[in-house]
Amino acid sequence: MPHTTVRRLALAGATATLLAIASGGLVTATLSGAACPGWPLCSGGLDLRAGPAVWIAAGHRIAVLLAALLSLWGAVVAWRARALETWARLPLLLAPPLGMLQTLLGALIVQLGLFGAADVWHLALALLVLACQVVPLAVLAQPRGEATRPGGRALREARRLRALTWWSAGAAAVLTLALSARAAAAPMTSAATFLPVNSFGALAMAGVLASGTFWQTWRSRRADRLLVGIAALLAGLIAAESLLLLLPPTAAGLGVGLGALVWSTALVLAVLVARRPLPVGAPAPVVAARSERPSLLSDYLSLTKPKVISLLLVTTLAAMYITEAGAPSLWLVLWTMVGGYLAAGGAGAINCAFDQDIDVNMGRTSRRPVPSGRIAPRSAFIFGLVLSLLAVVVLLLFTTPLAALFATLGIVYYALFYTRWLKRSTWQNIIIGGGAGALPPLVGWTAVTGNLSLAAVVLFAIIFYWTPPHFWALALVKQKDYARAGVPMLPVVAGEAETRWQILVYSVLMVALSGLLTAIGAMGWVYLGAAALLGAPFLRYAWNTWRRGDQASIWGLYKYSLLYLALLFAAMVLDRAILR
Amino acid sequence: MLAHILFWLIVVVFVAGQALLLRAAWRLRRPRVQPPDHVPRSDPRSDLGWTLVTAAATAVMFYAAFAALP
Repeated sequence: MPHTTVRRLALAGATATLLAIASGGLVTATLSGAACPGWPLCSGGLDLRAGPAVWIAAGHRIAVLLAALLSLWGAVVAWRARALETWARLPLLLAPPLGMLQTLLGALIVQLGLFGAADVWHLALALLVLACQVVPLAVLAQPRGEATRPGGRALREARRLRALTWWSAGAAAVLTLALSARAAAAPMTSAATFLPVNSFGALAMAGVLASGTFWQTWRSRRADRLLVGIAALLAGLIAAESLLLLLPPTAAGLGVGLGALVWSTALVLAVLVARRPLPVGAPAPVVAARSERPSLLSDYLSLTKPKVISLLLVTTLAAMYITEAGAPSLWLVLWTMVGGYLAAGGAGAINCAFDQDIDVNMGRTSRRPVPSGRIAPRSAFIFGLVLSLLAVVVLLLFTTPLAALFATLGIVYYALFYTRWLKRSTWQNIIIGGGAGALPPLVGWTAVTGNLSLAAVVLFAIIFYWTPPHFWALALVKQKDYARAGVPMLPVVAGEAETRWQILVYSVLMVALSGLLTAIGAMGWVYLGAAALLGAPFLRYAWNTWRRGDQASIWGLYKYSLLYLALLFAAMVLDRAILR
Repeated sequence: MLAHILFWLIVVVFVAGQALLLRAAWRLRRPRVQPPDHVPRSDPRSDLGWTLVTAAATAVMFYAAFAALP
């Protein structure tokens, strides 16, 4: 097998660097650095009577020395192996200078007496050195296969997975640095305090990204057992890291070693995802044609538009958990969810009754029960009315009058104001109509507090500004349907270019607005970090929609916007849970 | 201090964004594409009015946010 020596050296170097980082975390956690004030040797020397603190500090320096020697050896061998692939050779050559810089920084920490401070740059450089050994290892273990010609869908999925793995690797690095900040006895002296998140926030972010990576790996590459296994390992390691957070901060240095292992695993996964062959020619799952007529029950259920409601209920539920009143009782949550479903379902059913003439002309909606003639418009209307009345009764009895009022407002807004007038009369239909979809958080908020506050209004505004990019993306794809049905959607009356431009403007406004919750003190910096992380891909999709305008970008924006809203509200709950 | 910086940053983005949206609504008084005959045309003044109402409502929210800054 070619390059065996390089591979072995990279493996040995990575192991020694991992050991050095873990022992460094131990030094920080036990404040052992102060026991060994000289550099490079402990002043006073080592003897068997020296306490454990001296041995821990000395052990760390021995591990660093071993890692430095191995990285130097690896660099010499890589320098001579000119046939080595660039991605294997370059990192190995970079490792010794980075290691040297890192050692010098370690010396400075000792000389300046900042023993309690886990200097973020010291650790960050160590993580970079580790990356310089792990990446070549993964590159050499997985030579690039022959170029294949996968389909467009497989390529899109692969791009998504690649992006997720690199985001996970970044989150793992931030997690490790945040853990070192937690371990520092005097955080004020630590540069790690400049990190925008604490260890809980970093862990949550890494957990979300690793779970997303695992889900995407399972979804798109489940036949590749190695990738699925490593993605599961990554998620498992982060779960194990969460257990370490239960220990007191002084023991958190131990987690730094585990954090470095998470970082290595994420890097290996990122490299392997990019290099392992994509599934080719996998037949698309065939859905059996359903010739039988749907049951009446499922028809009535579909009138309530359960898929649409699920996202509305996510925002309602999240709003209930982020109020200043604290966590609500489970009964209150249950009744609010029941009332919210009935209200949104009732409005949806009335919409189906009124929109029969539009739905019958659109491929997406022509199979709904009313346009296909399985349910009469009058029956759908009565059904919607009954559900709406039930919703108001449930919310009045079990939550607060204000919650019932907002639910009523939502029903009237959607079923009458939007469906009967806005939708059919102006290209502003989606903008102003967005207010109906933005009301559920207010229902959730007021169900808990009984009154309205600025934070709740900002939640409303976020969804209000989110609606145009989301629905115009769909309208761009289905614009022929809308034109046939006579609905003056923006792409129909103003053209694609104008719609793509306004999508971008509204996306920028919405992402900017998501930060307002932190500015007014309703949310913390964990949420702001998550909002920025989630907003970046949203803006990228919106940008691509504007610049390229291809179907992939538009569909990407439409689908991501759904995920975005759910995750943004989840981030709010997470932030509140951490701050509480 | 950071909250104030963040707030004003968002305000700047919003002022620029709303200006672009108002300009777009003004521009769309004259249709740039010819939609099918059966698609209804909206009143350009009411479209511009909706955009102004949205901007004004957002401005009120920002004023309340400014008053609530820590």
